[in-house]
Amino acid sequence: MSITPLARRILCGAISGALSSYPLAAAHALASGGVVAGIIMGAGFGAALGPTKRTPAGSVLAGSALGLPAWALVTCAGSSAISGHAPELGAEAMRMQLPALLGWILYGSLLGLVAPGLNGLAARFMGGHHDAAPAASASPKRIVIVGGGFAGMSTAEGLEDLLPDDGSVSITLVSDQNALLFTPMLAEVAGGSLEPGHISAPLRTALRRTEFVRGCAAGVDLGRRILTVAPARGGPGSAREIGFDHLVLAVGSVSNYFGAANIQKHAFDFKTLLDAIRIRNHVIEMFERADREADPEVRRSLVTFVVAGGGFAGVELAGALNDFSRGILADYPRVPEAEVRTVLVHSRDRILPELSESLGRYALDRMAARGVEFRLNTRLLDAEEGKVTLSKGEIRTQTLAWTAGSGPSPWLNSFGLETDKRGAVVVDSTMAVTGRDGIWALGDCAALKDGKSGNPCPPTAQFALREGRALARNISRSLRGLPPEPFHFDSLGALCVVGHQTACAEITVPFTGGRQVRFSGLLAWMMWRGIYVSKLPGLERKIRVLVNWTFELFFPRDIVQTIDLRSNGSS
Amino acid sequence: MRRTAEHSPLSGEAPSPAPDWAGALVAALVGAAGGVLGATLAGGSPGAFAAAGGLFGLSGAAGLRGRTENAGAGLVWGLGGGFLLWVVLVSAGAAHLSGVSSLAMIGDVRAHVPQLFACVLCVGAPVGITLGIRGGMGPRAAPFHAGRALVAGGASGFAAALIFSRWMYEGDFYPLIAGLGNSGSHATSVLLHFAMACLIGCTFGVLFQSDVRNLGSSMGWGVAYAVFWWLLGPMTVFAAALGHRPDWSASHAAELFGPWVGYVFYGLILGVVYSGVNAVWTRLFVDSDPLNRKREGPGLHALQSLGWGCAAGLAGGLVALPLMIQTGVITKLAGLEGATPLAAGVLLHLVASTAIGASYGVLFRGESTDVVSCSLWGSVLGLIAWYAGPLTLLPLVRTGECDWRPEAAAALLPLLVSHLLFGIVTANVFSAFERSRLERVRRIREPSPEQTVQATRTRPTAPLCLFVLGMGVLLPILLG
Repeated sequence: MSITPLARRILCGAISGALSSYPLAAAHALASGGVVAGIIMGAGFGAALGPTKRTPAGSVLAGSALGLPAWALVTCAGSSAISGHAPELGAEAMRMQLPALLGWILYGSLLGLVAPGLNGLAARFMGGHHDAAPAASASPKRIVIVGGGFAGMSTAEGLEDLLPDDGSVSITLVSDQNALLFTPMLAEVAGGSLEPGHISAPLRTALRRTEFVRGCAAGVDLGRRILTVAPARGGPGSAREIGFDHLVLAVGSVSNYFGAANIQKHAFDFKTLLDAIRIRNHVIEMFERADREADPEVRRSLVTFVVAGGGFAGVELAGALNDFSRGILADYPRVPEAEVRTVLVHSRDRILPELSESLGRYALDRMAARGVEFRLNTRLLDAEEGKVTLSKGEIRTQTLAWTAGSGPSPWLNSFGLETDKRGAVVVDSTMAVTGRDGIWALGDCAALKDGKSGNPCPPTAQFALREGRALARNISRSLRGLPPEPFHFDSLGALCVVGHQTACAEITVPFTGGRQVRFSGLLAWMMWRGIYVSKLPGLERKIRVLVNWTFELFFPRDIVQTIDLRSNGSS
Repeated sequence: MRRTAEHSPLSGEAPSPAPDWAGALVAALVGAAGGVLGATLAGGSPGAFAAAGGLFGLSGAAGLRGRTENAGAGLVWGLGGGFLLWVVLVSAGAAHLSGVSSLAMIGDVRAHVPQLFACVLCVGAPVGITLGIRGGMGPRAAPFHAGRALVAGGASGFAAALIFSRWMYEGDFYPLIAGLGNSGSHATSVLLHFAMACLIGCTFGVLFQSDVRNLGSSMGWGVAYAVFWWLLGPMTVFAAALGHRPDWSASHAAELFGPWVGYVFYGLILGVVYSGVNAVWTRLFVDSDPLNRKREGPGLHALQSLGWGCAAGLAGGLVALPLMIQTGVITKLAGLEGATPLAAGVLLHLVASTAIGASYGVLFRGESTDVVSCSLWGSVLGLIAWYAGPLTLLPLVRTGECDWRPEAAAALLPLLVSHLLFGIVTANVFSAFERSRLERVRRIREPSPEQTVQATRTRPTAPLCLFVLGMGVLLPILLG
């Protein structure tokens, strides 16, 4: 006879309840139906017993102890309610129920004695002693995610939530970084507001059952369905082959210099945590050198910082560098304030093209008031040691940061997938690579169009997170033989910090057909901090960032250099 | 590094050891001797009591299967078992359960209060301690740190006794030495009060070091131990010290009901302070060791538990709200007589529920993984909240004085129902949150060695809850 363990426990509990209910009936614990109450409580006790084993004495005493609240709740409060009257909760009425109290304690002790014994006997003769372990599939489906950014991470998290943890599916994430970088706060690291580690969440900690493999995806054999993983950053070790049934490409984007080799050679990237750390340390190094430099021209070039690109990343970096460089001036008394410059070079007529014109203008005015210089409608043509050449003149500087262009990883072109003119993998609206079964792409590296509007999905963290969750659902559906669903997401808006306690925000109001509300200034800045700290992965990181921000209110920024710039190829 | 990974910390208990016939025989003898002593002190047939005590010892040894690993655990088993023994004895005659009026029944049970004390003090406690000492001789005994036990226990006892300082100086009220009579000067009384507190604290540390896990369960242990001391001290030994025969009658117990509540509060604070000191010690010197570090730090767990506790407390408050309204305490809570006292009272009740739930989350996290044990702990929480809230804080806020008379406690019995309901719901909702988290991290959970040792041991939760709930509920009914 087959019976589930839970059903067996409930049945045994009910029988035990009936057998133990004599004290209840004798004590008139309930106006009528002491046996019925005993059966019901017994069934509940049996179900609650669970797989935990107790000694006979422990079980008896546990049942007895539960008799006390049962007396209060069932006899004192419940019985009148069951019979249709208001509960008699007077003190004297309760004292009159003393016989029932003793009855309940005795009933509980008998139940605690009988139920486990009966359950043990039933398990012996009816089988099913233990909760059946889920049967693991002989050949688990292998899902491999390449990339540990927002898209890859949210896909893995979604798969962990959606797929059964019974060995029928294996999830592997391959990334050359062992942490998820929270890029919206990268400028704060470059500007010295936040500690670098605080805006990164270790992938091994955040992912519970996903196997993490640190390494660079070196090649994909689509025919054999094998991914080759090489050691990260060209480190020692041999390549490893990982088989897959589903491959998720979430490799993100890299800086695109449009073939300008000199700029690539002399500029700082602004994509990774290491980039932000390098920029911060480089700025401090420039101030150290400027402090002992006697020649005003050279000194001016040392403390001139040029940022190429007027999008979100460029504007936030320029604002952060401006605040940082002016903030540490107090420690460098020989550097005149007038010589410190932060210059933002942008090829269009206004910054922040992602936001409305009025907000872009507001940002420019606020940043200019804080000392940032703008070169609009100006292109960066070339860079060399100590100088950058613009379409309108040149600037003597030792520091150039590049945010003016980015594109999908060129690695995607190496194994025959169809790409668009940007180099992004062409996918349908479900994120499936066209004509390739079990190959998916999302995030910055995919040319994804919204399933509802048909508009291209922008390469932002906001979209990458939603795409990851949607792709996890689609893979789950695919494993169950269901068709995947098209991706659709309406942007929630955009936020950009432009300087100390100042930001711009454009927020989509829900249920208004995409109507947007604009904020600026302190309110937008508080909104930026509130929203982004809430999005930061992990409670520990949130607390650390909040502590950093609080410290920043009372103490100056740190000017300790943490890396040796001579060894890492800075400009 | 000690790694005791013999059992999963989440799964429960170790396999049963072989029967200990010698231990059973010793327990039976101790039980029989205790029965004779109890019959002498409480009145009754020595033969019947000796037989009941001997049977209690035998069944205790058989039922526990050698799972009591120290004297402290044995004592708690004995206290719970002794209480149950009394219930069985007092209910043994069918006449006690049927055929007589409830009023007559109360009178009859009041007459049996001395037997309750005899069952607990003379039979349960000695048999339990005997079984605990016997079990402690086995190979599974947890490591014991005598210095930590004495220092933390003594300091906690002293700190807990400070709660009464205001009443000691203003009202000459010394609950811990109640029953000793006039001991002379004020300074002598204070000295005796703190000496008693330190004695209880030190022995608490020695007996329960390996069973105290978190602040919440430690509160339960503290209350149980304090109640034991109320029985042993004011009700028994102090009288003997003054050359009198101990008076275990209900009327004498009613006279000492104020000190009884005082002992309950002393036990609560003793448990919390001891567990706090113990936790700080463990955190500083055990968990901080990189060899013992876990993937998630203790701070994260505490914050998570705080949030879950708030949600659970709110749920418990909502479920208990109809009963609270029924008893009419909601309007008294607000302390308002204006136009919307009910709304204000409901709001205050929910805020208080959320706060108590948050404290439950912090105090009781990791205590229970099944419905039975968390219902038990929830009931204890409800009982504690009843003693602390309506019985103490509410009158303190409204009148500036505590009313610890048995009549006042009996009058507040209706509120006990809603508090128990609140505790059970809160504990189960919190446990559901905890279980979902454990489910997610079960593959990577790596408790520190100290926690592993504690978690894999069998703790006497059920007898503790039975003793605390039984005495906490029964005494106000019988003595009020």
